[in-house]
Amino acid sequence: MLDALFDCNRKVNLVFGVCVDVQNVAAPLAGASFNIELLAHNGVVRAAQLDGIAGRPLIALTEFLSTLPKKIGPAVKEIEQLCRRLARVTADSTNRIRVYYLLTRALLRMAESGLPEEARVRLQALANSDFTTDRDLERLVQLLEEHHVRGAAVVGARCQATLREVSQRIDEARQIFADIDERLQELKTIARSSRYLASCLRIEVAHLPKESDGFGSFTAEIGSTLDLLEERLAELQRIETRGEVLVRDLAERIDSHA
Amino acid sequence: MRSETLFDEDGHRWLAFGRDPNKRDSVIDTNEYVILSDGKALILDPGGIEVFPEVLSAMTRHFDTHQIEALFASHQDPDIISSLPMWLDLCPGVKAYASWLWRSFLAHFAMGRDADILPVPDEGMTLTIGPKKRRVELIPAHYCHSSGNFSVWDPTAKILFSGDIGAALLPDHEYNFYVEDFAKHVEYMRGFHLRWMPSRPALQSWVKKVRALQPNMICPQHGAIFRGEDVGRFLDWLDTLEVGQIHW
Ligand SMILES: [Fe+2]
Ligand SMILES: [Fe+2]
Repeated sequence: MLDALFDCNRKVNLVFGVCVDVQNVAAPLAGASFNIELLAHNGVVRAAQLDGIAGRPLIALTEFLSTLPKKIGPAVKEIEQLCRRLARVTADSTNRIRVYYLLTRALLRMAESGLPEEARVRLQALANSDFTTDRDLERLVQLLEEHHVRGAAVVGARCQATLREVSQRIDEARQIFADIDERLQELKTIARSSRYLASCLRIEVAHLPKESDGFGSFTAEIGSTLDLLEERLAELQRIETRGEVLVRDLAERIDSHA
Repeated sequence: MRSETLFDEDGHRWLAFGRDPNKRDSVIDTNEYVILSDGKALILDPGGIEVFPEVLSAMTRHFDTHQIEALFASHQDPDIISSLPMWLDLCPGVKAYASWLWRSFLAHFAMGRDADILPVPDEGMTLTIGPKKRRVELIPAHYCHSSGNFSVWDPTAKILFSGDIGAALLPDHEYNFYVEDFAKHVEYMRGFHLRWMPSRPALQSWVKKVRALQPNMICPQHGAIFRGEDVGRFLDWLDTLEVGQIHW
């Protein structure tokens, strides 16, 4: 009868899981950014040791590269904060869905025991509704009020207010996912810029005389650290999209006139 | 869920609710009581969250939710009061009374409304209901089951609500609201009391206090109501019961 509500609650719980996953994948990003920074600093020192003008473009590139990871840390922190807010919103949503479920069950019980025989057909049709929208609820409350079932107006009003609260929290969750996505795009831009600088470095290193060979392994190391960073960002994007789809689906199902 | 009027005189009523045929077997059966005095209601042990829809629906057949003035929890168990957040959510301004001992524990499911849980001191207190301010006494029953436990004495109706004292695990929901055959009923009570009552001296002191009140009825939160001769029979039985024993 109220299976749709259980399904919504299950989805909210999945969103909570997404929140945990995002935090788990996002946390090591700060470590990866620190590695890039360290490597770049190392590169600056080595480039300074090179003779003449050959080292100048390398110094410029590695210096620029060393500034980029600094922007990763704050973005990761913001994602972590957003996840904490999302966890609160989802916990609150499951509470409100549970309250809404119990109030709706009370309304249906009031209908079963309080409605006269002739209203049973309408109740039967209504009892198969999902009760995830204001419309289902309004129809039930209207039926109860038509037959002067005591308490229907008060319980119905509380039920509607609770559904509105659920809907507001789902909207909030949607906004949080949009904000997480924004931070994620910033991180991707940083990764792309770092990748571009790393490829410039590789080109410059290719032109160095044979004796400054150590730079080959330096660019390879930067490359593999960036691979790891991009891999994690892609994973984060997959998780974030999963969460976004879940809340979009919830927002479509839980419909109140809020 | 069935209901029964236990007392109705001069605008003062006692209602009992229970025996829900739709209740799942895994959920222990409970009785919920309401003292409705000149249009205002005090709910005694409003029940678990699982039965809230049925309890609410059954109660609204007798009174409106805005008539609810207060809730009382005899102790902290989930079958007693886990519906608390629902009642507080539905009835703004309603206060819930519970032992001071459990107040901060109950706050865990008050969903932010813990300020509306009012502490009952160990020695008990007087509550008043409705415009005529009819008195009911919260009588200490500590260690008669829970360590922070109260019974409710209504001198107007001469009814005592005993919480889990006198509880019985009945065979089915068809069982009468009142005890019909005391000797047989003892079999439904014995197991509960042997395991869930920790202290014989505490029970004996409670029995002494209750005897002095001379109640017409004793209403437990599980099982059936004692009235007439069965009140004395029940108190005698309880007085000699060797509780608080377990053989590991
Ligand atoms: Fe109990
Ligand atoms: Fe109980």
